[in-house]
Amino acid sequence: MFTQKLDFKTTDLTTFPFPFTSGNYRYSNDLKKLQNINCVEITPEYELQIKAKRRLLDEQPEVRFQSFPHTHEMQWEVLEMLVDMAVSRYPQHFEVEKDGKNWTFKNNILAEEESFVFGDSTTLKLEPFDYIGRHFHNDFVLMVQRDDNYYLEVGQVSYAALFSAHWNKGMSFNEIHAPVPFVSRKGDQMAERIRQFLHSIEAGEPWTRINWNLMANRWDVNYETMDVWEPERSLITAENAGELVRLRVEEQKFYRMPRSNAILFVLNTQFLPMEDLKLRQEWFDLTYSVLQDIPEPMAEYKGIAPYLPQTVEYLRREDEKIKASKESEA
Amino acid sequence: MYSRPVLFDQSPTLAENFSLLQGRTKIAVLFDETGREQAEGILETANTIPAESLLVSEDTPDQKVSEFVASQKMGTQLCIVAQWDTAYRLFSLTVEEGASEEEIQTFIIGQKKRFVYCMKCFSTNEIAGEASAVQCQCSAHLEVGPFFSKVRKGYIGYPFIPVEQRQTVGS
Repeated sequence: MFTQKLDFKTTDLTTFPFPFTSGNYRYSNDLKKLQNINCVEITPEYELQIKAKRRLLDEQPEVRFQSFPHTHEMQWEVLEMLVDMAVSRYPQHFEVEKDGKNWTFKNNILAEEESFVFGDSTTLKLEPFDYIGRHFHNDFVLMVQRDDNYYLEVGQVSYAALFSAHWNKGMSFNEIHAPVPFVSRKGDQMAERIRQFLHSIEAGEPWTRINWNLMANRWDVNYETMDVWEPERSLITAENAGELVRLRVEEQKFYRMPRSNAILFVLNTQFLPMEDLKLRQEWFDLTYSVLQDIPEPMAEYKGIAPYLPQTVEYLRREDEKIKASKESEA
Repeated sequence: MYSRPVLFDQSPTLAENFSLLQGRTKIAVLFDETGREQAEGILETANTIPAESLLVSEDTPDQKVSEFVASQKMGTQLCIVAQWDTAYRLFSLTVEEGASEEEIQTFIIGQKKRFVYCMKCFSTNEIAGEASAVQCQCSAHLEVGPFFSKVRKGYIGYPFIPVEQRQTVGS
């Protein structure tokens, strides 16, 4: 039976994409050119995350993976990119043998090997995008460009934050982001600015941005389970927030696919419990400062309003303890 | 194609009063028996240009409707005058034949229908009147959201547990 038990968290802090650079935060696109264009990353939690992701995909296939039948050629292009990136960055973990169109892909971490004919979806048990996506902990979303917009035509999503691959299938970028009520510092709509920006992304030059949220004892909140997580949020107290509330960071990477011209969104989602923020004093201070300054509409939009005060209270108490400890040392 | 327009209660195609769109050289009207009187009114109003009409019943094959639409030349303004279910069918067949939503004016006889898409069982349910919440056939309670999906053909239905049933949180 599907559970949302969080049995992993980021343990190697050097791989955690901490999102805050100043003590107050407002929505912005914050797009940067990606320095390392290879999106494959093996973390210490790799096996736990893959196990969790595959369990979700097996138990809720309709919720977690969606595609249109006409997308298979585009899916093979994504498979090729991810296979090549994996083998290039981690040759000890991934191997591929290419004999013309006859490919064999090996995942040595999981001791798995699969042979298939590249371009022939009947030679795989899963659709190409679904198959290759299950070897990496990321979420993957393929937005196809038509006219002046991008449409979600393939999605494999296991770490949703108020998102559903099932519901959002076929929607344009603007439809998906319709609820964003905030405007950028320049006054234009942030989602519209990002959509315009996507037009400028070129093949071989991916971009990145970081999004963040809080999660109350879950790794994702989607529309399908709203009746479960919505009341659960009220169970958070200042006493348990350190353990149960996690800083959820989503590192978004945008790739222009050279053949289909679609944009591939690669989402690296990592979690850090509030209590682990103390491992880096600067992270603790910035997070405490940001969270106590979140405007009510933003807290509502992010879905954290019901437990934000308790979380801030937890951080306040911890902050007092830290200061008291420093004073006694002095 | 999934991105084709579908008829829903906020569709741009829905019109209250007939107006001849600029540059149209012909008018073609699809109607059912309930829309006969209004269809005749439209044909009278547009009597300065050629007109053609087709009476559609439940027994009319889709192919006949499609052929009627496909035979119209560029510059023809299309009108649909019918009860909701028939209008929904005619609109779908019309856009399948390549007509754009801007070329079609749709007049509903009687009530418009709204549907909510259950995020629990992935089925659509008709919304009674202006209700903001419905109970799905799968028994899930759904709050009707403001977002419509052309693929799912309904408004998003957010599942919720009614307050009186919230004894076992997270069950």
